[in-house]
Amino acid sequence: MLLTDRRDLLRGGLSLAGSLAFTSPSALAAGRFLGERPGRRAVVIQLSGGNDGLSAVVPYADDAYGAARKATRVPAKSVLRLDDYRGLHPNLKRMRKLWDAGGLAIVEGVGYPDAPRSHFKSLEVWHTARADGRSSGDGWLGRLDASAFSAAARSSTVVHVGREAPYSVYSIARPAISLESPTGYKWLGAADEAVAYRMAGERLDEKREATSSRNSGRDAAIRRLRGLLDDANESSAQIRGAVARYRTPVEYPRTALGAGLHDIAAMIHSGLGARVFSTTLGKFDTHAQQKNRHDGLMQVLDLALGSFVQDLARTEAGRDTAVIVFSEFGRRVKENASAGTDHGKAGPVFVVGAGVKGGLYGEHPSLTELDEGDLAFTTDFRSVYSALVGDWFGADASVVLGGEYAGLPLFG
Amino acid sequence: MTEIQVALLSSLALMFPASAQEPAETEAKLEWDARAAEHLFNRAGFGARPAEIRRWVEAGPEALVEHLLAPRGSEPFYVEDPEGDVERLREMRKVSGDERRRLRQLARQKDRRQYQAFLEWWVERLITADDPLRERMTLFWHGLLTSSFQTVKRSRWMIDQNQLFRDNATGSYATLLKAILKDPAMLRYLDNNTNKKGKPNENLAREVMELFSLGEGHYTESDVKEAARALTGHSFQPGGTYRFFARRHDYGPKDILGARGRHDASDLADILLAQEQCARYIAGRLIHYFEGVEPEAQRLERYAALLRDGGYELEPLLRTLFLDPDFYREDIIGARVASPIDFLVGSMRRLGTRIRPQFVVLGAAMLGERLGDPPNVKGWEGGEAWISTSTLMMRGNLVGMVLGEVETEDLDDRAELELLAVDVPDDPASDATDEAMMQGEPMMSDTEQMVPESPRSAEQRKNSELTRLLRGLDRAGYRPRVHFAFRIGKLRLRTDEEVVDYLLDELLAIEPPAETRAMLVAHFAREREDAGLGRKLPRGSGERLLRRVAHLILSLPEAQLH
Repeated sequence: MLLTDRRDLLRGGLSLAGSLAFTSPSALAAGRFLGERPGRRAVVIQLSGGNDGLSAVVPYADDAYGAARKATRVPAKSVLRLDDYRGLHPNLKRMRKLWDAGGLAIVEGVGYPDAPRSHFKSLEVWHTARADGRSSGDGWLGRLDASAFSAAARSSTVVHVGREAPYSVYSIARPAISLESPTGYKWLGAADEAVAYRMAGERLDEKREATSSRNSGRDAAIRRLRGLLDDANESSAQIRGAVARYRTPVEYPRTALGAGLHDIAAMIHSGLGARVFSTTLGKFDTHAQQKNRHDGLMQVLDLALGSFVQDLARTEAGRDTAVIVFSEFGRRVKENASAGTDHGKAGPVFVVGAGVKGGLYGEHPSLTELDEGDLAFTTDFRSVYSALVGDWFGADASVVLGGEYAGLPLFG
Repeated sequence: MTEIQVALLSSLALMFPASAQEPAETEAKLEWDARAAEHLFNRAGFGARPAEIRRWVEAGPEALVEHLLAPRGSEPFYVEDPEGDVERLREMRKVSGDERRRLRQLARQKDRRQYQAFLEWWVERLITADDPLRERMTLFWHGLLTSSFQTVKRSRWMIDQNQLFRDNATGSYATLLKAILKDPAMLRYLDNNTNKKGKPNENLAREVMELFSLGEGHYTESDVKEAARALTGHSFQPGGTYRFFARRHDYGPKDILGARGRHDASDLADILLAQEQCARYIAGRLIHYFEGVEPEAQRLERYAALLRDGGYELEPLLRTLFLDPDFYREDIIGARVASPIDFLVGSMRRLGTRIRPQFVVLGAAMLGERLGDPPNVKGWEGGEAWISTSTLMMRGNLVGMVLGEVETEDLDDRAELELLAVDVPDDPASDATDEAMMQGEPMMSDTEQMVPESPRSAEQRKNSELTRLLRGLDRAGYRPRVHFAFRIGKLRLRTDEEVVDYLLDELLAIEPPAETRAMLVAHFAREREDAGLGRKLPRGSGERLLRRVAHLILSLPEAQLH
């Protein structure tokens, strides 16, 4: 029954787009989610390459900071002070305003035990919430979707906007929607073939289970790809409709991050069933000549995030959205000979949104008692994830994270 | 069969493992047929057409493997060094700052153009596939011993590195490892030019162990620190050749993986090659690359031993692998998602059409495989990670352009937006941006994008990339060189089943499931009748129908596998 309905919807194309989203009405009506909070959404922004936390939340009053940093130092007089120890990077102006309004939580010293200084290994840990990384299975957002939202939505409720989807959204059973641009997000075939193209995704083999073991690998791969094709067709109509219709008085910066957050805002406001969004900002791997590049990146982040939060504040759906900004690691306390910094360990995480209790969380790591020259972590990143999964979404954090982590009291 | 009978049979099989019905695994024989030959072409090369496959089915697997391994001695890309030339100019010291900047800018432009030309040369080699295994292995090394043009920014270094991979593609891993530690592109990519005594930069040391030789978990943090010291002073001259700077080198004793001594870069390579894990890691990466799944432990050990005992020569390993019945297992054949390059190059080869190589370079980049620019030092993730909802549709769109089935007006969202009563913006992307892309400018990063663009252009870039690709094809007067109606007429194919079978055989790298064939036969028959066409397909409307169906076939999940 559901299949037929959806086929009609697809044939109807854009005229119906966005109205039903990924959510099947029957599952919603059943109301099987006692704890789950259906209106809530989350956006995860990844600062790829290892953000230099000491240049983002600057311990300007710490003598050890001045001693370790010369070429990469953010001057104390330019810092946007939060208290008499730390302040935000001078380009994080809009985030500073958010701080004053009580909408910015800064979690300090975030990391995990035995952190390797490898981008890939560290990203794997952040993406899976598990020390084993990818070998442990799906990404944590994929698991969140499967465990909390799968009964209410037939396909993934996770959308990545940007070039390559991070492993966090990875799920074998429910592949995330991933797109770089909504306008190009469709198959451009002739009308008659487009009908066949849509049908081809509709799991032909459910009717006729593959019998030959001679092609077991092929058949398993085709099954997965057909599911993906189905999701592609469905989400294409919905997402393009949502973005084309979106009207906001808020101006976004003309950067890829700005455009991506604009489109995410459009999807949040369209009534689409997506619950979790992901996007990235790259180029944080500042081994050499860090200062200018990092200053620029802070500005790109601040302008885009500022607009996004302003846009979200307008509506109930927006206010029901929490934003997390993380990076795979902070950087070495002592700068290197190339006016840059090498891979380090702990760093700050930002949590933003109308539902967020602003302020400082965790504990600022010592700049003198170091872990192999790096900031030692004081706060496990999974205590941030746990707050989002458990307190924000009302889902079972231990299932998603594969262990018990006390959530920080980030949400009001 | 009843449960008792099944139980009886399986106990019989246990008692008589080598019986005719249940041949023991050790006696597994390579079943050489068209499916196996196509599999070898797909994985060791870049696909083949049915006629080529039929020839090699007759010749046998050994002959095909030797054919693939045989050296061809083909001509390398002729490379210049515009940026190096301008740096070496004596006059540079005399001219004014403005003039110097102008000269450098010109050299940079010339350099980027050379890199574009090189990428097109590379892709052309993939499409013509005169030396398919060498090209396959070159791509493998590019994804393993990664460097990126975006970071290196000197075309000559990247091209030289590529030639290093091509020259040693099936040669010795030991040679490659030693050479890569003195390769300017690599030294630049992983910042070893800033690795100096007293102020080590660990980037290269870490990646050499983690990704190039041993794998995570087979060395300690201390090994990385010590290896970084061994690599101090290994850098390059401003002109671009490798140079050892003795004064930057740390001559003190180092402890690397239990070996103590005053090690330098080649000592480090020797220490790594002496590790038992090294051969295991490289054999594992190779098998995974060709098969798409991790090898089973015992089998991996056999291959690791083969590599180790053969002094890291690759040819014996490849020969054994390609004749190994396990390479043709049911869970491997046709089960891997083709990379964007495999998909586009393979489609081009199977269609038997020619297109500007630049189309493949840009198309593959849009699908996530930017040749010369792997996403990070780990290379491309590969496998199912190649496919998202977005790139699945994009693959179909690109091949639709090749077939002339996707045209500029299809890309125009105006009609659709008007339907939705939306204000239509004037022009999604300025011509300036377009031109910059045409010149092969690397994608702008966020930091560089502070210059104003039209508000939605960043988001619409992918769409405008498609537009640009189409404009490029239009300007070059591209017409698809396929004539399906003729090919089908010549073979006297009459029934809908015959026509669809022909297209599937020609266009897919795998055997499609029966249900896919049935769906397509029904679709083709319906479309043919709707268009009022008989069994004999005419040149105009018949050809259009065939191309539309070919476009559909190449957009299906079945066409993404190989």
